[in-house]
Amino acid sequence: MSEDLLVMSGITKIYPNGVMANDKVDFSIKAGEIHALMGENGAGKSTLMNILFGEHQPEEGEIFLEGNKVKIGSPNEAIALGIGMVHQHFMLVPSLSIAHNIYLGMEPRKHGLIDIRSMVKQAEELAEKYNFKIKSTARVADIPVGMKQKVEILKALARGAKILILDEPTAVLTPQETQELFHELIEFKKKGHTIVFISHKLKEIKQICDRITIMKNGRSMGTYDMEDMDEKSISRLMVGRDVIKTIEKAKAKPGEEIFRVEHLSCINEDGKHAVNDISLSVRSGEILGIAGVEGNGQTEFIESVTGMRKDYKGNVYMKGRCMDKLSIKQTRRAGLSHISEDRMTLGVAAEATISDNLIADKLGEEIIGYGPFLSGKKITRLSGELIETFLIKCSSEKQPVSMLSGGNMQKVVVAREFAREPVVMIANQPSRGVDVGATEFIHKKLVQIRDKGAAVLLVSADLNEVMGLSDSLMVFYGGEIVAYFEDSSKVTEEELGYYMLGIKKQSEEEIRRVLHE
Amino acid sequence: MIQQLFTIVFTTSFAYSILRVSTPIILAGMAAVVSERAGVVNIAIEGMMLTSALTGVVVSAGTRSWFTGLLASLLISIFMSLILAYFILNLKANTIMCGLAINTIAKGGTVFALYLLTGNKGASTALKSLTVPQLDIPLIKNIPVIGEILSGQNLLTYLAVILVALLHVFIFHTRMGIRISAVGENARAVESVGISVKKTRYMALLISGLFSGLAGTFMSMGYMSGFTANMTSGRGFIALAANSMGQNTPWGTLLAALIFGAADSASNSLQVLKIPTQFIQMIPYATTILGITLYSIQRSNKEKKTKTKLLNQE
Amino acid sequence: MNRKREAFFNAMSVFIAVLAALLVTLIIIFCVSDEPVEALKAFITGPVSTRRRMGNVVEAMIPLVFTGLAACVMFQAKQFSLIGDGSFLVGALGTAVLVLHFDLPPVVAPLLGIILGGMVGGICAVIPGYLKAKWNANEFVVSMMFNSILVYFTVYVLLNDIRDPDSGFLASFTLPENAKLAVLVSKTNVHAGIFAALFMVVVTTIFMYKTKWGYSIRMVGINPKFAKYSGINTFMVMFSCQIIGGFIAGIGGSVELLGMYDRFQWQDTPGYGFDGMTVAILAANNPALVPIGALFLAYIRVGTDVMARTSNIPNEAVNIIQGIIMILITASAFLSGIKHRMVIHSAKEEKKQVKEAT
Repeated sequence: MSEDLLVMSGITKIYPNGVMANDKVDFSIKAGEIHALMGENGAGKSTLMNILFGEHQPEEGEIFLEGNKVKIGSPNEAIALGIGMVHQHFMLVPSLSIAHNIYLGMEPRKHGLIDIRSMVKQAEELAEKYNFKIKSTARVADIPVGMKQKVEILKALARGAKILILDEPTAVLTPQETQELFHELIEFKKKGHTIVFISHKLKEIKQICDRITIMKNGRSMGTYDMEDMDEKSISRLMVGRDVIKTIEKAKAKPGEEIFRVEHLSCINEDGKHAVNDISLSVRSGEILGIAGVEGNGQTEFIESVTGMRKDYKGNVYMKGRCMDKLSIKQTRRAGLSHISEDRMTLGVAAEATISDNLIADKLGEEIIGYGPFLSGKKITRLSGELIETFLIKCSSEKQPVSMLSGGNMQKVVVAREFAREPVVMIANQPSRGVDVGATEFIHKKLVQIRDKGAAVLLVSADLNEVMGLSDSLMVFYGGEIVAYFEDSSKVTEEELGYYMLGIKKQSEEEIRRVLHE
Repeated sequence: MIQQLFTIVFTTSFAYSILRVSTPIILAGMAAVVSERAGVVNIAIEGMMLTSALTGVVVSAGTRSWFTGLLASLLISIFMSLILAYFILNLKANTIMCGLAINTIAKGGTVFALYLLTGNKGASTALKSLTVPQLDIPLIKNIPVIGEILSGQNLLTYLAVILVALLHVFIFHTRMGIRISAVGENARAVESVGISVKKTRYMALLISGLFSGLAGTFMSMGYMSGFTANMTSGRGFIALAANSMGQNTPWGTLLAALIFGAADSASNSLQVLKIPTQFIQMIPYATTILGITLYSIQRSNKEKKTKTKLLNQE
Repeated sequence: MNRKREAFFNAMSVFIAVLAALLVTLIIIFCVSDEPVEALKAFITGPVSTRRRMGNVVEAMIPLVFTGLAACVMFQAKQFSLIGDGSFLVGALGTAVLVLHFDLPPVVAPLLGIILGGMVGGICAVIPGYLKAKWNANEFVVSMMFNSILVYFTVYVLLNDIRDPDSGFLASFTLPENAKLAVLVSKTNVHAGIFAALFMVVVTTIFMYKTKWGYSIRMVGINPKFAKYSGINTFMVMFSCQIIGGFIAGIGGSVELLGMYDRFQWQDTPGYGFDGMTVAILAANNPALVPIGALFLAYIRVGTDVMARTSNIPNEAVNIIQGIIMILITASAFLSGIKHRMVIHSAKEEKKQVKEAT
């Protein structure tokens, strides 16, 4: 067994907002291996790697490289130590050529000017050395996503990276591109590079990784040799949980269809086909859950069906009425409520008061004032009621939302969205970053409106939530529905895990059952 | 009337005046190009121009050397751009407000200083200031038509054209130039390779200050000889518009500046026509708005189009 | 951290900025003047030394209130438009044309004139507002350019429609007495426009804080994505807030003309739209505080005028003070260190409370 090349020991990281992302994590890699780092969203993988790349400073813990203690204060220092990182979001300059992006800040020069010819030559030599097929004079803005990633990898290699961290590199790739990447990674290994591979996709990890470290809730669950592990045991370590609370609810009594989506596709800002021909239907009195690892099209799908995004193909119907051409205001008036996954940018106006946040979607209604006017009295009354019903902890309704804790902030969002008795409730990660008490409360409320006859579409990356709360359940993978379960209580976590990680896929007919035809 | 129009437009003196009138917009436009490339909308160009215009006049009158005047005005403009940079980059002040504030101080401060120095608030006639010389270019001078247009312009006009070429080389062919553009496009990409975004923006604003200084000096030591209150009259803003029409490139901005210059000269020449002068004077500003509008429409359409194209490609 | 502390910090940063600006003025006075103490005295006590000068302060304050309110409305939606400058000018022009062409009875004349001025001012903002809201064209540069066009338009109308050829200078015919606003205090020019100004303060405050439209403007300014998500039409809000700004500035132009002038004689914007921005910043974009900001700016304006008359310090000093105040208030980062620490402190405390509660 070779010596450990790099050791991170006892790493603890607390973010300014008080979230403990890493809790005494030990992590080590050996020279020349491909090491998988796995875990659910928010397990702390990215944080750990950002610390290794010098982007964050840990509160506690030490890092040793080849036995020597090192301090990595900035990406620059990490680069100098031979550590390179390919981020999930590309850090490229679109208008520059591939070669230029690779050598940004260290371009070869002749007479003080950038020697473009030798820069292109160097880039091509580098690419050739690693068997990358690129056209180094092409503008980054014009190349496909897979190519962009290669540029990122070459960028790190050009700076002499021996240890390469890849943060979910396959999330944006097509299966073919993924296979190509894997060939390249194996090539790197042969050339003596060490790779840390962050991923959710079990199959992929199984295919190329030598060892695996699994993280959960900011802690390491141990490092294992890949040979000793099968998919099931990894899945269990990763998604198995300490406390499973059952959510109390009666059996659903689904009524008629209320919400229907037909053949919806859309392209996201990266130019990727994020959602691919999705059709589904939700009935009154039913909670339809969408499970899946984040980034598999859920965000874009929800944006499309709520009217936030208008550039989709396909149709959305509510009670038979086509919603495609409606404004958000009209959509909301028709009875659609939407709890956004992104609390800070969409869910609230942080600098505004709690009341201001509670009334944002009710401007057309008399409940907050007559005609064009706002009635202070009515708003105070309404806010008071909502604060009381939704147990929002605050000094008064005039307090700015930014002063509330995450859980209370989310309760403001939930209170607003529930206040008008929705016909359709779209709840996207409704309990993200929220404490246990608030989570339970939000769940109870969702069940309540279901029982009153609303159609609920729930998206959650938290298996506990999506399995416990949903009546029926489907799984998103790669922008498509890969599984549908009529009765969510009959699905095991393990089985769900296979679909979420892309190991299994149901047949067309099985999936079409979601349309209740 | 059309005939009259043609006789005015197709004269060598008209072409000559286009170059002359465009010079400050070209120089200030380059100031806008550099700062905008780094992601900073530099509204303070106007104020920097005004300040250097006065400084050039005062120092050249005092030292009897146009060159020292030019130098001093460049220094003061660079100094101002560094103050702007400090407030925007270190103290995180709002860019537009900061630029406006600098313009206000410059507008009042120049008159303030002029009054203290000459006892006159309107113009610097009491100061015997110098101008940057005009150049006759040997061979070209003798070519008919072209010689009349190109020769005998102010030294700074020639310098402006040379600097456009140099700036083009700087932006596209040097490390610093590429860095500046990269910071404006994707600051995180630049950070990820260990380059300081703040330092790069400082550099860009410094260069922007240099160009603003040249533009200002031309106003009082070339375009006119002497300083008058608020003599830049919005050219710094027209430069911003020229830059957005020229899509942040030196040559594109030069072209846009020439269009504005032509509109401006036309408004001077066309006053012999029967169209009310005020409407002719509106031309440069209307052209500017039209230019910005077309540019913005094209930009927002481009985003939409690429997406629709991708969706229907299946 | 609660709202009071937040407000305290806003007030602090304004206060420190004002103090710093006055300090710079002090330094300038001592450097430049032969009799600095006299000059300083004129600057500080000048505006309240005589009834006439006190009147001057109030007169100077009136147009600033209007353009300050206009800037508040636009700033609340984070629109940095200078259209207030042009709207002020053309609003006044519209009023002048109306009262010179139609022989209107008293009360009706100023009332109609002011309403028309507001409407004309609002129309001025249509183009820059639409271009910004629809295609995201930089409202600052467009409004700036558009103001120049409005200036030439004004000069054209002045020359060709309402010019009095017998006047010794370029000006309109004398405005009819019926249209003029009454002078309220003898020996000053303090006119009835002050009521219009205060009325507008009340209306704008109600508009911003007590109507759904004003609420939408505030939300778009705080978080446009949140506004869109909640169903607010962000296009209409961005577009309309500039028109409302133009409307208020236009009324300001009318009031200023009818209260202070016998003829329409502006050949350039009087620059109140721009000064309004300073007022809005001083008032932290709160319409209710605009009179205080306007009063302050009017005071130092009259102060520098008095100083200019009694010493060798030109009244352009006011621009320097104004600029420094603006730059320092917006650069409130010099206070953010302390603020940040307080945020963390209160976050910790809140956490403690939560812990104790559970």
